[in-house]
Amino acid sequence: MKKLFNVALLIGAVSALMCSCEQEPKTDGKAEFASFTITAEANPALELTRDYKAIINNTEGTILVALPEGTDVTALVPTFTLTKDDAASVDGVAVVSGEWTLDLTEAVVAKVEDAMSMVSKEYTITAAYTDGIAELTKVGFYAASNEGKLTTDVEPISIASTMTVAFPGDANQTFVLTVEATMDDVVTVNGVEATLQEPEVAEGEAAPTAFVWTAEADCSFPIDIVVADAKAGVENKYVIKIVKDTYGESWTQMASIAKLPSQDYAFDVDPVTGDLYIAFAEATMKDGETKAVNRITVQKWDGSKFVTVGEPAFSPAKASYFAVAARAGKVYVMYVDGGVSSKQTIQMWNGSTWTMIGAQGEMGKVTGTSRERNFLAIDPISGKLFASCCTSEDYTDYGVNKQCLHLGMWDGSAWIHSGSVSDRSATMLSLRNVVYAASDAVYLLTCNQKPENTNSIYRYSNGAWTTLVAGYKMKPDVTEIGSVAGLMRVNSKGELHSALFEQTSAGWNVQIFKQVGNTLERVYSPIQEGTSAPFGFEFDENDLPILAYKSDKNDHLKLVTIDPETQAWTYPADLGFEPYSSYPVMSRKSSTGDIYVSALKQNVDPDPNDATKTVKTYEVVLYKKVK
Amino acid sequence: MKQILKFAMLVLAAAIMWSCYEEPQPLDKPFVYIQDEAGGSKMDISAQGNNIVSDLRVYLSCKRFTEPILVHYDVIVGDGLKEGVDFVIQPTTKSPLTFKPGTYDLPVRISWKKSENFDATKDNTVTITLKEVESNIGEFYLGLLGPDHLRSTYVFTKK
Repeated sequence: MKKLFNVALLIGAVSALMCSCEQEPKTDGKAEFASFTITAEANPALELTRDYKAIINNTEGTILVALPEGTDVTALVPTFTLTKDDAASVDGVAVVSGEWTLDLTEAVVAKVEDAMSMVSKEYTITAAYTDGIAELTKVGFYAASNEGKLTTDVEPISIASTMTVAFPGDANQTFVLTVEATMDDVVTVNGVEATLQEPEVAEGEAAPTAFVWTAEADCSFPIDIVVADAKAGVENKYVIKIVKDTYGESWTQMASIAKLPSQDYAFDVDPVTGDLYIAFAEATMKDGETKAVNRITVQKWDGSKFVTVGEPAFSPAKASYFAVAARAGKVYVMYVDGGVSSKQTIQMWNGSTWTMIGAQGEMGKVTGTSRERNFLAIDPISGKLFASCCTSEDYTDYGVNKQCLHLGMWDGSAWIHSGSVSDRSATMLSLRNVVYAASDAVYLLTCNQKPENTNSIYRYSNGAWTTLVAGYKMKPDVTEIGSVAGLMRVNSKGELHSALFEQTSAGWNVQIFKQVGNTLERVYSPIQEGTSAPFGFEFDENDLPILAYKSDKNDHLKLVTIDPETQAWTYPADLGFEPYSSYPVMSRKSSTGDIYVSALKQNVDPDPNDATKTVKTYEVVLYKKVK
Repeated sequence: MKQILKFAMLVLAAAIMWSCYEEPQPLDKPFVYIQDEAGGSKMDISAQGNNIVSDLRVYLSCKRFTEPILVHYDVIVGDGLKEGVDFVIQPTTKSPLTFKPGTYDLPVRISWKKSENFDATKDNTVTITLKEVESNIGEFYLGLLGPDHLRSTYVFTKK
């Protein structure tokens, strides 16, 4: 009994095993072509440059094979897939993907059958010629189509899937958009089919290859364009973003000084007289010298040209890394003096001659300075001159700095330490510094090496320094503050701002900060296009910030300001040239509100001493903002 | 012998249990979500800015489809703002969004106007919420898969 039971159990188990997993076969209930392609690989005789995917219409039961003009369609070998468990045939003869030779000089009917569900469908397969592409070849808003709204044509710089178009004025209205597309394309603009401008083809002329479409587009929003070629089975999408471009008209080039031997220059605007001064190097040879030496020359703008102030090339020895400051007719220059072991020398124009301020090289026991760290500022109240530069020596008796920063003050008869900033921690080390004379005081900005990535701001007024910002810590993702300290400016409300370079994992940003209490607050979005090169920063007559920087997109000098309407940065004004990579873009503003931006261009000129060679020369260019 | 037989049946029982094991189907649920260009789900807008355009994207995550899919969304406006006055939605990006076969993302664009009588004490938010998807490829999950329905909503706050 037990044996019988066990055998029965065994048989039952085996039967259960055989039956339990038996599943009902699944069918998709379809009989369709899922894909149909003429591939270059399967059709080597056709010398196709790519695969051509046919357009399958399962509803209509059609397959359109679109191929380049002139393709031999008598022996096509399609590569195709079918839906599940299907088989294809022509006139009852099975056809297999990659093995079927298809003559499409006339339509061919193929049948797809689903063996499981007994469903079938017939397809009519035809061939047509196409250019195989769907793309824009031209796009823009043209004055001829926008009478009364546009006086110049507006086009993107290049055609890409996302384009920016800068309108010279109010773009928040409807304009006529004109595009050119290729053969057999259909263009839709914001979901609506555009109007094809039928081409006029004279008898005997070749058929056109570009087709013009127009559509009205509301430019207060980005514009979506779809170009579709039904025959080719391709489609491309484009977006046009609209920005206002009025800023480029705001700047004019007023002067340039060309063929300078070195990249040393500086300029300043006298805030009292409005006079503009520029300092640059000239190559001269004085008595006893056997070769030309670059010496400093200062010129003043007389309304139409620059005129030399005093003697040209007046420094006794080689001069480099200039700074200029002017106020009430007094002009000071500072330079690294090659005649005194590259220490800083300062001279002043007294109306008739250039004279040393202190002894030659007395300003600093400085070695290894660099140009962007030299600054002069004249206290608007006392008229005292402040000079800041860099030193590699450690000045423990100057409270402002322990390393790099050297700050001196000329009291009219002697250079003195300007006075310690009593609450600056003795452990703080400064990395970069800027002094700036506003209308009410002199400000000092230091980018600190210790604590790392912090900034401090001090103010000198009435003979004493006070701390405004002890140590503002940059964001955690800032890995470095720029190679220059940044700049400070005070707007008409007396609010101190600083523009600083910060480096994050996303690249370099220029960020404007406003001093609020004893800290800094970020204002306006950062400019993410700038390189880590020195830049210009001013406030315009409406207290809107202006930034001048070298773009990391095309290396050009660009200018931006804040659009008062959107409160965002304007489309940059591209001045069209590359400023010398590591030399400052500088800006100044006069008491009458005139704003100037200068930069250095590097040119290649014939060597005056050897016609077969070339030399690099430098050109200072100066721009003025049109009010 | 008995023991062998019993052992054989034990093995068979185990075989029965495992033989019908089916490979689990991969997670294949379609979903739709909304976010900005940076992948965020909220943004502050300046109340003083005028003609500022915000560009959101609605994305479909699903298999290939052959019939258009419609995505409906709601625009919920706080009592401090008014559509048509404080903001305008680009007409071609209004609800419902029509995804033609082959299209898997579409924009929703808003142009913000300066709010002349801005009252910071009011609810100055505009919330875009995915509401419903009409399709023939199955039911869509709103937002990213997960209990929190992340990216099913986008919130603008005017400040």
